[in-house]
Amino acid sequence: MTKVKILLFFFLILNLAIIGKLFCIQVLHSYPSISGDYLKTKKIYPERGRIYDRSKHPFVLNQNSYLLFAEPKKISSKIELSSKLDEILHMGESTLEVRIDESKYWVALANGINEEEKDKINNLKLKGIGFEYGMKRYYPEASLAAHLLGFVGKTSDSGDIGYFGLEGYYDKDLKGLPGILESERDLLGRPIFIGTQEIVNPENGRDLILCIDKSVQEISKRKLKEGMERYQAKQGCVITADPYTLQILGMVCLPDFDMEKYYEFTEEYFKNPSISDVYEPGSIFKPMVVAEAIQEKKIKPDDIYNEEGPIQVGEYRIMTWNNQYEGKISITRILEKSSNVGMVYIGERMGEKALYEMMKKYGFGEPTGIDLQGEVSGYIKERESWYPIDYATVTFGQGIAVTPIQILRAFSSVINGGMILRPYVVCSIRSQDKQREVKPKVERIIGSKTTSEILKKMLTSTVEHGEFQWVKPKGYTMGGKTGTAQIPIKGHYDPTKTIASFIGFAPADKPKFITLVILREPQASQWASETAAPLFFEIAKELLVYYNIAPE
Amino acid sequence: MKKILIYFFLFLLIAGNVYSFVSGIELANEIGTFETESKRIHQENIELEKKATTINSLQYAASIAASLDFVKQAAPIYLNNLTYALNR
Repeated sequence: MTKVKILLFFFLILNLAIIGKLFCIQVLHSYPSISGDYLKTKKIYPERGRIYDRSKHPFVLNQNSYLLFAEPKKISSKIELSSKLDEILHMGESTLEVRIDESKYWVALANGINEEEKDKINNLKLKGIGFEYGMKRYYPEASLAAHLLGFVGKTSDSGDIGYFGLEGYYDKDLKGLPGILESERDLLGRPIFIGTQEIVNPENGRDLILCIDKSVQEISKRKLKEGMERYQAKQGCVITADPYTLQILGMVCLPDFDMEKYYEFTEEYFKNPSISDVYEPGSIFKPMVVAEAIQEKKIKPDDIYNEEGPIQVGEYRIMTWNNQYEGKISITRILEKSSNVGMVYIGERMGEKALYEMMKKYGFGEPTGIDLQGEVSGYIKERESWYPIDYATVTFGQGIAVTPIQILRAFSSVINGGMILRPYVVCSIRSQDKQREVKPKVERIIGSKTTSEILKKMLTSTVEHGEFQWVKPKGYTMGGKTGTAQIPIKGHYDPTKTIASFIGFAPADKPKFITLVILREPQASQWASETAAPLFFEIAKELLVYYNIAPE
Repeated sequence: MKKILIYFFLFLLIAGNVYSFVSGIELANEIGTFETESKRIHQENIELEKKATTINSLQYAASIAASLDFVKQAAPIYLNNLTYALNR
């Protein structure tokens, strides 16, 4: 009987010890981390989709990144710790010291730590610090396509969110869906089999395969940078596309920004001027007016116009750019010499209503629907508020505000048989189990193949017999048109500030590419023929070699 | 005889429990190891992918070209139109 009592007493003590220990763990020292260690319910973050160019060369990947945290209760000297960490992180000792709040159990010290920094910190063997794994974006080509790609920022709850460009437009596709893990674990973190063990795997973000060609992008950026330095322009853009599908092959604007250090730039750098900035197109608009007039049989290419001198419209006097007049000239010659008075004549032949409707047909005043975040629609006044001078000036591209991508789309329709297409950047979207191809989308057909052929010949002639003879790649025929638009400031045009542009295509008979070059406020010359046009031919020369197009 | 059988079954029960407990811990350990390893391999893959793409990038090519002084001034000259034959 005594033995049984001893045994009972022994079990009683053992039970009391267990109860005491449980009381200590659960009540006296109920750390959130301990209760969390028993039943782990955590969100499993999906991997953000990657972005590749058309040849599957990566533009955006993911890389390992760590959050450095500290457990201040376990740190003996925060001054010493801050000093050692600062040697690697260069954040400032005082900043680190302030972050190590001794009243807290856990504090975040630095985010975005890379593998190399992590290894260096681990080698210090410091107590009271740790790392939490995460991912961040990696750009192998740096900011080659900054405006196009956009960047990934943080939401208020530390989630990833894409801003601008593709990251913004395709954020839902790229981010994927998170999974969830519910697992009962012992104190050593091992799963307890009789407990809850449930996992729903995350669905990783979809990969984007762009129509952009890395080499075209590189050529465009390199040449644009050189051109901007040479002509001392404030800003510049080069957009290259396939005129028959409107797949964007290259899109560069400068100045741009560093996507990894986006927080060091202001918002004005993030906007993609190709789709978000509006400007008066100037003479680059003329081929669209001519194409519409030919399409509607209001004029013929060999019609003769008598260019006698300036034209008076109300109180305004319209002149040619050099105030020189050639007398009887053909419609083709009007384009060749970019005659404003000749264009007013074409506008008169078309009539006011047809002119206004033409702009709507080409899609001015509405977004093109390009798959990039931040596109604006441009601006065309309501027809009721148009004066006769507006109908005159619009024929040579003044009085309307358009985006570069709208000009590219409208000009493409002039040479592709009249198809107004939706421009697009993403050629296919790849998920874990399938790949969806994006097809070209014809929104409407506004012209005929015959008109296109006529316009291609006229634009080729514009390049060959224009007022300015450029250094063109030998053996190739190209078409194109310059545009020098003055910048309206407070209701007036500043004659010293212009936007110089050139849009051209090559080879002329069956264009492989169409390229728009825009330079804002070039200082070397205000004329597009001396700035944007030579830059276009330099780019075109490299593109012809790249596409392996033989001379004719 | 009956007592021996009871002890025998009790022993089997205890041994079975101990075995399943130890096996459970072993399996849990293995799962833990696999979890850690798969995470490590995934991270390593990402790191290797980063290195591979960096080497394959135009940026890297440009930096190498610059370090080798392969600039416009130092570009090779191709003999397109030979004035004299060079086949000695």
